[in-house]
Amino acid sequence: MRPAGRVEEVFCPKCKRYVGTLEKCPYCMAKVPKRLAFRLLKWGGLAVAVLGVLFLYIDVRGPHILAKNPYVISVGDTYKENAVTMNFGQVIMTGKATFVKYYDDMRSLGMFLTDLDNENQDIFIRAYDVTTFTLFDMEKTRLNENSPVPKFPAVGDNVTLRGNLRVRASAAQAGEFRMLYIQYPEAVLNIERQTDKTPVSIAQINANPDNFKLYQRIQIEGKIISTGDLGWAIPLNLYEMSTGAEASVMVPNILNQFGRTLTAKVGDLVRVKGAIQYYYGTPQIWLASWDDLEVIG
Amino acid sequence: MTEEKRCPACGKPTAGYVPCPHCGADPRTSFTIKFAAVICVIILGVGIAFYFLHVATSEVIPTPISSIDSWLDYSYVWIDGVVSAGPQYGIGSVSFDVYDASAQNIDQATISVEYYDPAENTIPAVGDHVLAFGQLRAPVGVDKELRISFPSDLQITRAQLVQTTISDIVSTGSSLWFKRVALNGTVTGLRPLASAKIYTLSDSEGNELQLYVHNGLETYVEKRPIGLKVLDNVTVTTGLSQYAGVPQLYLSDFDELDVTSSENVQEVPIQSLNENLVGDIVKVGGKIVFVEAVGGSTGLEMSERLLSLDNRYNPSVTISDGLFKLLSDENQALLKRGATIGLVGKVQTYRGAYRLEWVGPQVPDLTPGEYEPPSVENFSTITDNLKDELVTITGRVVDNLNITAGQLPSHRLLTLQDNFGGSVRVYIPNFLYERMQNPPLTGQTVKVVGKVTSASGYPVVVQPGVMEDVQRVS
Repeated sequence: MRPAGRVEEVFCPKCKRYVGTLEKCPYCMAKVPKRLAFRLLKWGGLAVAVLGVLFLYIDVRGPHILAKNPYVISVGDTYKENAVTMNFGQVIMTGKATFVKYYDDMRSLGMFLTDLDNENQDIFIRAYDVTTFTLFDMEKTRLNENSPVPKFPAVGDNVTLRGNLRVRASAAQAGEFRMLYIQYPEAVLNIERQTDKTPVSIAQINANPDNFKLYQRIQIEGKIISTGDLGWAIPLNLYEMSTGAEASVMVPNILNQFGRTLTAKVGDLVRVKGAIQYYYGTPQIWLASWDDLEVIG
Repeated sequence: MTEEKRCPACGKPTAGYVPCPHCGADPRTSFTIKFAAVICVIILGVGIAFYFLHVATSEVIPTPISSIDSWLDYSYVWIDGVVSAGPQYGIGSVSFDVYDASAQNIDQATISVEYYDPAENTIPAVGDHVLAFGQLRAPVGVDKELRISFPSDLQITRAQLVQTTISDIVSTGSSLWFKRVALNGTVTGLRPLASAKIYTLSDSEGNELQLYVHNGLETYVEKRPIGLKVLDNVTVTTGLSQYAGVPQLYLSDFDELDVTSSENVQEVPIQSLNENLVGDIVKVGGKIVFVEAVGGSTGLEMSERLLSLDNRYNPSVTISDGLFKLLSDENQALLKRGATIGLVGKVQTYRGAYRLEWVGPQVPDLTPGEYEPPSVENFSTITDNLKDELVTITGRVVDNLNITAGQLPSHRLLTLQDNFGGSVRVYIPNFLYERMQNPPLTGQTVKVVGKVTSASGYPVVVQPGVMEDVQRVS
C-alpha cells in the first residue's frame, strides 16, 4: 500500500523514512521540500485566519462592512414571550441605570438598566475586568480633562449599550433570566446624563417628594453636618442653611476607582448634583462622578 | 523469504519493533472491539440502573445552615428551618431570616433569604416553617445569603398561633422565640431607625416588649403610615423574633395589629414630678422658656433637645432628634421658645434630677407665642451667682476666638461688650455656629438669649440653646 501523493514529498529524501506533512525530517533533520501550492495553503490559511479575526475585530467596532449593526431593542422586549429566541444575540439597548456597582470579588461592573417606559422591567448588565478597568481609566481621563461627556454610567443616567444578550426560559415563563454582557468598553455607546443645573431647595424635596421623579437629577447646596461609612457608599448629611432642612447625599465607593477620593469634610459648604432615589420614602441624592461635588465654602 | 512484519494499526512495516515505531500501537495490550462493546454495554446498564435507583429513592436533603461556608459560594442548596425575622420588604424583593437549630449559636444557624419577585400569599412570616431552594452567596467576611428566584422554590407551612402575654414572653426566656403569638399591650415608646420603627409595648405590670415595624411595610406594601399613638391599647397577632437576645415582635402586615382603645393619661404639673411617678407616662404642659440643643460627638448633628417649661428650674423635657424629625414640618417650626406645649412623656431621673422623656408617637398640642428671658444691661453682673439662669444680652462683638474641636469645625467664643465697658463671653458650640446662615462677626452688635454656664475652661459664659438665640442687631 502506497501513501497518496508524491513519494518525494512524504518520505525523507535522505533517510527515506515516512515524514508526512513535516518539512523537516524528525529522524535525520534533513529538509523535505513541499510544493509551493502546499506551502501557500499552509501559511496563507494562517494569514487569512489572523487577518480575518483582525478584520472582524475592527469591523465590529466601526466600519460595519460585514458585521452589520445589531438590532436595537428595548429592555421590555426581553420580557416578551419569544424573547428566548434572542439568546446569545448581539443587541443595542437603552435603559435607565438604577443600580451601579463594582464587585471587588469578581473585579467586574454590575448594573441594572430599567426600561424607559416601564420601571418594572429591568435587565442586569455585566462587564468583566478588562472592560471595567478601561471604563474606569476613561472616566479618570475625562475628569482630568474636565470634559462634560461622562464615560462611566451612574444611577439616573440613560445608557445605551451594545452587548451579548442572555435570555433564558425557565419553567413555563420566558425570560426568567436576563443579562447583557458588555464585551469591550466602546460598547458603552452613549451615556445621557441630565445636565439641568437648576438649583432645588432641600426643603422643597422633603415637603413635596412627589414633585420629583425617581432618578431625576437635581442640584442642591448645603453644609455637611455628618458623614458615615456604609461599606458601599459614604453618606453625607447635608444641612440647608436657608431652611434648616436636611438631606442625605450618597457618594458611592465606585467613585474611588476614578483616581480621586472624597476630600470634602464635615463643616464644608458643598454644591451637589445627583439623581434622586428614595430609601423607604426618604429622598437620597446619588452622585454620578466627582464633578457632581463641589466645595463652595 | 520471510514475511515483512507490519503494524496491525497503521499497516506500516515495523521491522519487528513493538510497539510500532510509526504510530506507537502495541498489539500486546490490545483487546477486541467485541470485548470493548460488551464492557460499554455493561457500564451503561449499571449506570442507568443506578440513576433510576437514585431518582426513585432520593428526597430533598437540606443543607444544615451552620455548615454553609465560603466554599459553597454560588452553589444551589435546599434549606429547611423556621423564619426567625422578617419579612423586610424592598422594591421587587422580600428578605427574611431562616433558623434551623443546626448550631447552639443562633447566628451560626441563621441565614438571610432574599426572595425576588415574590408571588402573592407566598411571603412567610416569623414562626412559619419553610423549605427553600436557591443559590447561596457566602463570600468570606460577609453574612451568608440564599437567593430564591421562583415561588415554586419556597414551600411554607404556616405557624400555629400561641396565645400569650408580654410577661410570659419576658419571663420564659427563649421558649416562645420564632413562634406566632397573640397578645395585648399598650404603646409606650418609639425608637425610629433608618429602615424601621421600633415601638415599645407594655403591660400593666410594667413589662416591656419591642414591636419591630420595617419601613418597607409602610412604604411599599401598605403605602400609608401605621397610625399608632402613644398609649394606644393594641392586640398584636404576629411572629416573635429576637435581636441580640432581646425578644422582638415582628410585624409582617398591618392586619396583624388591632387598636382596641386608648389609655387615659394622668395630667401632672411639670414642677410636681416626683419619685412616685418615675417610670410613669404623664401629660404635662407649659410655656417653653428655653430650647437647648445637645450636639453629637462625631459630627455637627444634634442628638437631642432639652425643653424648659415655665421656668428654668423645672424638670426639663428631652426629645431625641429622631423623634423630633418625626414631627410635622409645622410642629418642628412651632416647637421653639415662647410656644405653649402640651405633651406626653415618661418620668425619669437623670443625674439626681427628674426629667421627662418625650415618648413617641405623638402629636403635641402647640400654640405659638413669644418669650424672652430677663435682659441684662451690665455684663459685669453676669457672674457665678447667675449660673444656670437664662439671660438676654445685647452687645458688640469685640473678639471672636476659635476653640478647636478635633477634626470638626471649631467652637466659637465671642466676647461681647456692653455700653458700660463691661464684657461677657458667649460660647457657641460648633453644631450651632456652623448652622448659622449669618454668623456674628467682630464689630457687629448681636442679641443673645442663653444660659449662664461654664464651657471649655471658661467659668462663666452665656451659651445660646439654638441658632435663633443669636440675632444680629446691626
